[in-house]
Amino acid sequence: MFVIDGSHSTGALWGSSGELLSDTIAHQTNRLILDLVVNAVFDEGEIRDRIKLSGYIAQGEDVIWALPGLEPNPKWLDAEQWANSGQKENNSKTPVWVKFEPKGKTPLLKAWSNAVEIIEEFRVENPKSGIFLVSLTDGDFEEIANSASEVQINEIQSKFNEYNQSDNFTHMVVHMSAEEKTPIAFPTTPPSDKFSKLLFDLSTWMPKSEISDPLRRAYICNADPGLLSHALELGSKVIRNNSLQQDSMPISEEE
Amino acid sequence: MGAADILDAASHQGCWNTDLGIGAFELDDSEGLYGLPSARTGASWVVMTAIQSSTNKKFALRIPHNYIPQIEETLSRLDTIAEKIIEKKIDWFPQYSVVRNALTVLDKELPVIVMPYIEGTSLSKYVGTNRKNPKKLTELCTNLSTLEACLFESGFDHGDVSPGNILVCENGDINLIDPDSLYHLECAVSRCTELGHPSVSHPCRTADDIGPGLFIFPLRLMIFIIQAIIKNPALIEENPDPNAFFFEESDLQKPAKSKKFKQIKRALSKQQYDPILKALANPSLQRATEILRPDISAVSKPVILFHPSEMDLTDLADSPIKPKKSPSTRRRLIMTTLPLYAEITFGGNDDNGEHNG
Repeated sequence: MFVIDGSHSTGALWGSSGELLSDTIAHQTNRLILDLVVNAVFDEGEIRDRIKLSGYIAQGEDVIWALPGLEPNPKWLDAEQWANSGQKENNSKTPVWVKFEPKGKTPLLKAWSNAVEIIEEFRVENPKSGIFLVSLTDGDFEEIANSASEVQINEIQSKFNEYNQSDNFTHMVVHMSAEEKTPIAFPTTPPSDKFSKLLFDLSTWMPKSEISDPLRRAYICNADPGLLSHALELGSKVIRNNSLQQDSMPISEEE
Repeated sequence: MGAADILDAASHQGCWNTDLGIGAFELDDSEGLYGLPSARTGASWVVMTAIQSSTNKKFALRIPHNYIPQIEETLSRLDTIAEKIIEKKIDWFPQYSVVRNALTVLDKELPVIVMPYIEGTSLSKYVGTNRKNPKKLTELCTNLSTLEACLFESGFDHGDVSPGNILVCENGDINLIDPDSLYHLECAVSRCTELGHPSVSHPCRTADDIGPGLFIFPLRLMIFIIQAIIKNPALIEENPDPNAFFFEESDLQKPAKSKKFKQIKRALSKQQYDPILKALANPSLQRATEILRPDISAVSKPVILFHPSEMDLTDLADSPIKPKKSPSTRRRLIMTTLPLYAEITFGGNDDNGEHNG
């Protein structure tokens, strides 16, 4: 499940690159979905219903269904539905599932509350399935923190932690910075500044495996486009120990 | 880099840096989605089909889409294994070659493994399609047991024997694929790069389990499942997902709580059922493998056993029986040289649970 920040601030450029954050977010998300098709559900010429997909954009006052078509009920798509619904546009190499114009505020907490409701329903219907929630934001932390009461934040955090106990729920938060700040990737302890810590707390521990020994938080702060791409690969393929090290992840000690 | 990036690059001639040894080719896109070439994808490799322009012959091209630790070491090992396949005249695994720096994807030069395309269906699909055909499934069990003997005999091991990595040809012949998981006793590894597929792999297997005999548990488990399907075809769908052939990881972790094990228990005799349960109950893969081996101490007549720890089979060098191209020859191999082994492994039991081997 994706929760994508579609606020006006994602209309900023990545440093001097000339590419909008929003375009990169949409492009990388679409690449991830295409990889999910190729890697995970398309097998022997058939689409196998191995993964359900759901996605929302938090934008302005609303939380909007992000994938093609109307919001379904239940609020996720079978593989047959989502894998076939990408649209080829303007000779684009990658089919498009997600696109948005940056606008308005960032109702991320509303989006996460919505996600909690959907996950509750999904867990009842699919008790043995793992759930991977990815939140992509350029995080105006002040706005996120000020838009809700501490109670609401605590409720969401408590639910995510509860799901994470069973080790089959992961919430990965990828925060992007257009200002080329120093990234933090999969930390073991919370960052010191208040707002980075807020997103750390709302992410969950990575699933127990070789890659997360010691336990690491599924959280990236100040990601650049390359790190965003790396992070999203976590959702579509088997990641081996040290596999992220090869490609110059800025944090040298990270796996 | 994702698999989609590789498919995208592969469909552009300019991204190919060198001749793959098959001359000009086109990629098969008959089953691809969104205009991409047709592909099978595993945890680390994406496999496309190339059609040689001059002959229309098909080749499988395997390209890594995931980070391969110690890539040069891995490629050297693959080179050595390729030579072993030729040297040992292996007919259950396709010959292949490794072409380094063959394809450029996102500024990286990737190796490509080129091998003949095997016309066959995955074991899961074959079993699903033939679930009501006990003759074909019995023949498949025999061929799987024969494959086990061939692996023993030739000194090979395979770390990812799974329903998706076994292809069954129209004539019933079977082929293993996935050279990345193929090992040979003479080129030992210190750690395995994979743990096998969770639907057939022993739940206690770790990367430190380097064999020999990694193939034994999954092969026996698949035979065990197929034997149950022979008795009760309703155990499986017509088109099962190769990634969830029969068991899930949780079934193998807790067989006592598994509904699927209960279904199998009803279909099989105690002699067929118990060894797998005993092997699963053992927390060490090595000891679990021992349980599934034939009991050589009980052998009272001369018999050659292809034993993973005794794979220096120089005695067999002069044997008139060599693996040949036909599955029936392979079957003769095991039936002729392994009478006791054959009895224990797949001699089978009748409905009353009595040996008929």
